[in-house]
Amino acid sequence: MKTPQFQGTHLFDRLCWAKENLDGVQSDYRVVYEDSVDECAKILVPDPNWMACALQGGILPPVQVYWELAKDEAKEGFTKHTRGYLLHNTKPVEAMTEEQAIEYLIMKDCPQHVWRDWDSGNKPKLVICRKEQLPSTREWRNAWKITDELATDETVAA
Amino acid sequence: MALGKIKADTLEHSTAGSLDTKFVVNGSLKGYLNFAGNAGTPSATDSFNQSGITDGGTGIFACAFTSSMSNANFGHCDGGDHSAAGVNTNKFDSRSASTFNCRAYDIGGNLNDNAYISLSFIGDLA
Repeated sequence: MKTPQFQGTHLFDRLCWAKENLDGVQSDYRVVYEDSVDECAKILVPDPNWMACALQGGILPPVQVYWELAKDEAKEGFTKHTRGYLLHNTKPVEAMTEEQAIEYLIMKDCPQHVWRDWDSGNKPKLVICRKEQLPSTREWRNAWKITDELATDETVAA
Repeated sequence: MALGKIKADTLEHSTAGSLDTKFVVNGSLKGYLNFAGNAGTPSATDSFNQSGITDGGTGIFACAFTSSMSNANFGHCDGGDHSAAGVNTNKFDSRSASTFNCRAYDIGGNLNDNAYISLSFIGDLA
């Protein structure tokens, strides 16, 4: 199905179109990251409807738009977004592969201090893996950490 | 969905009166998320306007909006289910215009990976 010309259409309206016309895609990829040394590893799971939008193309705004909005919200005295038009008027990104979509999602939903220097320090702070590589139950969930055996000088997500 | 537009400030019924369309626009649900918190890694059973779920540990979850809210003052409704652990309750932890952090508890007040967690959001979009 061809995506309508959505630039200038409110992002919410685009999501309504996607919900009605696209089947959700549950990715097997999981993003494991450590935000703080004192906390257990966090796991980011892509939303099926969002992934469908990413694979379809022409719906989602460039990830940089979210960074701009985050900057606005971090300013002192912020009361409400006044640059929401960036979400709606910026040219939507083209269709992504599942792997590209995961990279986009990391840059959207993971803290920047994690993904910008994910490979600095003694071990990776962020790893992309498949669902099967994680424990199938949540036993000892609060003790889950990225293994120390992963080196930062290799493609750890391979 | 047709992409044609009907622009109107008011909806008027023949006998029941009229309604300003801003009540429809502002009053509509802006997103929802249903997921099983007790799955190995939680994934959405159904959702709208969400980009992903972040599992932060036992009973600690976060979701992110695709179409951001205008600020962090949006409304939300949370629900849980009855399970072997008792009546589940969900409470919000912190939030921004783009994310919502949820904590799920069992009836004893302990963080718990509830089997069914439902969130819905209402408010103004960015």
